[in-house]
This record gives sequence, C-alpha cells and structure tokens, in this order.
Amino acid sequence: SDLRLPISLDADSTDYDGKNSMLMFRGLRLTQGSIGVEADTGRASKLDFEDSVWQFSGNVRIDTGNGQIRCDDANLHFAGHQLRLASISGSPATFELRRADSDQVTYAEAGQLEYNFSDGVIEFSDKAIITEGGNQISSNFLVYNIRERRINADSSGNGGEKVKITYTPDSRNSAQPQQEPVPEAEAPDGNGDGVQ
Amino acid sequence: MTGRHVAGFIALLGAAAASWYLASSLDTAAPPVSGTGGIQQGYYLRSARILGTGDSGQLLYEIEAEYAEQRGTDEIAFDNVRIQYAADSDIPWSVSADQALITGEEQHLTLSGHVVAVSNRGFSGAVTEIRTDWLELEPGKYRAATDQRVQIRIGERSLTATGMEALFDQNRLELKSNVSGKFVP
Repeated sequence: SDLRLPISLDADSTDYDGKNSMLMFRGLRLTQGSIGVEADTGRASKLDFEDSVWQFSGNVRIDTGNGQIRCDDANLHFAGHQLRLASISGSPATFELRRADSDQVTYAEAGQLEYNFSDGVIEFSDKAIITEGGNQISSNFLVYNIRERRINADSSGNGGEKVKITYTPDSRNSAQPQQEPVPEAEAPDGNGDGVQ
Repeated sequence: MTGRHVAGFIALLGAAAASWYLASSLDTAAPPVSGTGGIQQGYYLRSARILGTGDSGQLLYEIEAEYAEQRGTDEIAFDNVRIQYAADSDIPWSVSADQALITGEEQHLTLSGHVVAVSNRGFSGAVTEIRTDWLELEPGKYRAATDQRVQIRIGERSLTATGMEALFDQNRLELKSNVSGKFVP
C-alpha cells in the first residue's frame, strides 16, 4: 500500500534553528503515494519519519486518497516511515469521504479529530456532526469506522448535549423503498446513553 | 693646423657621433609595463597556510591551500583550499573547495568548484554536509551563503534548495527557496 512508499517533501523555504533543534518549513507539502499534506507552515524536530511528530498549521489540507480533511492545525505522528495518527483541530475541522461504490459523500465536522490511519478510525469531538445522504448524526463525541462504515455515538451524559439523529428516507425510491446501506449507529460498550 | 690634424679631428668627431647615436638607440626601449606580459609584481606560495585571528587576536581559523597567489593589490587566489575553524573555537565546521579568492581586509572568501562544508556535530547534532558549487564565506562572522543550488545532508536525510545562509556559531541555517527532499524507508 502507499504506506512504505518514499515520502516527498517540498517547501517554499526552510529555517533550521539549532538552539532548539527545530526545522521550520514555509509552504510545506508532504506526499506519500496518494496521501498528501500541505499547510502554510510545518515544524519538525527531526528530518525524519521513523519516529517523529510534524506540526502543520495554517490552511492545513490532508488528502487521504478517497478523503480530504481541512483544518487549522494538525500534528502528524510518523512511525516506521508511516503516517500513524493525525491530531487535528479546526473551527471547525471538516472531513469529506467519497466511496468508490457510491456517489454519496460522507461529510463530517468537529472542533477536534483524531484520525488513526492504521485502524481507519476517526474520533470526532467538540460539536461533532456526520452527514451521509439525507441522514445526520450529531453529538459531543462520535467515532467513525471508515472500513466498517460504523458510527459509535456518545454523549457526555450529565446534562451534556444528547446524541441527535436525523434520518431522511431516500425520496427517490419512495415507491419501493430500498434499504440504503445506512451506517449502523451502535451504543458504545461504555455506559453512555448512546443510540441503538 | 696641418691637413693631418684636420683629418684626425674629423675622424674623432665621427667616432663621437657614432657612439652618441649608438647610446641613444640602446636607451629608447621603454621599461616593460606590468600586466602586459611582462614580469608581474606579487608573490605565490605552495602548500600555503594562513591563520585567521579573531577580534582579540586569538586563532580563529586556518586556511590551507596547495597553491596561493597574490592577485592585484588586495586579492589572493587559492587552489585546492580548505578552511578549518580552530579546535577551541567550538565551531566544528570545515569547508573545502577547488578554488577560493580572498578579497580585501575584511576576510571575505569566495569559494567555487565542489564546495563542501562538513561538521560531525552539525544540525540536530548529526553529521551535516553542505554541498554547492559556489559559496561566500566570512569566517570571522561564521557566515556562509550562496544563491546557487545547494544540498544539505543532516544525518542520512538530505534536502536540496536554491539559496542558503548558514550561521555556524548560532547553528542556524536558512534554505531560501525551492526546498525539496525525498525520504525512503
């Protein structure tokens, strides 16, 4: 897969400050196969992708081949030359996913995203909303499993924002309502009052 | 004055005229003008070694060259040159090049041809190497700069860029534009 391909780096300019061992790139673009990340600035303590964190900020855009994330800041954790985890924040950060087998776009937004690239799971928190087709689910905390197309919803309980689901039957086939492969919303195994 | 005297006097007069003519023709060649193929003023050195000192007179850096030659009044040209900072200057950098030119008093070197700056305790504490074809070096200010294409290798990773400025004493480096790199696992 893309994950062991060479990583290409391009930048408009670079500063290295030896006092705190920090590389600062302006107009940074990193690509590895179909995965690409770009931002106004990028910082790294090591010119390395074996075990390092690269901090991107300002107009951050992450392309994941079939998806795209736009946000203000993103910390990308690389290990063994692979992008493992992205800690993302935005106002809000947005996520779009296009599936090969469907023309529907999954759209999500939240103040915070934690994208685990290895597992293909994204945690949305801070006013999280996921919309697919006519359906929308919003809560304080949503976990979206991309491969299994499953959403776990959790509210923060004790009077916090509840999980809200808006389900819109597909009007195009109202005569023979076909069951669209709606992502299953499951109660988490925790004690939150999730959705069934 | 008898005929014999007159003939002798005339012969003497002719000899005098001939020697005057001979002396003046030998004297007309103007002295050779320097620089027009004539003998040039200045010196040259083989296995040259020049010591550069800091403000308080301490040894700061050393220039070694296979050949050094004075050019004009305030230029020295070097072949196969190497500049090394003094051990106790805590600047673990050395620079080598095919040619170098020192201009003027303020210790400004222009290096060209396979310019390589190396430090085994460079950026990120790793072996660091800077390669370019042309570099301005001000050893007294610990500054090196180029507007040419440059390759920086930090440890096993390298970047290329166009234009660079390095401040060795502050361990700082700026890559001016077109920065790129490829990293394989």
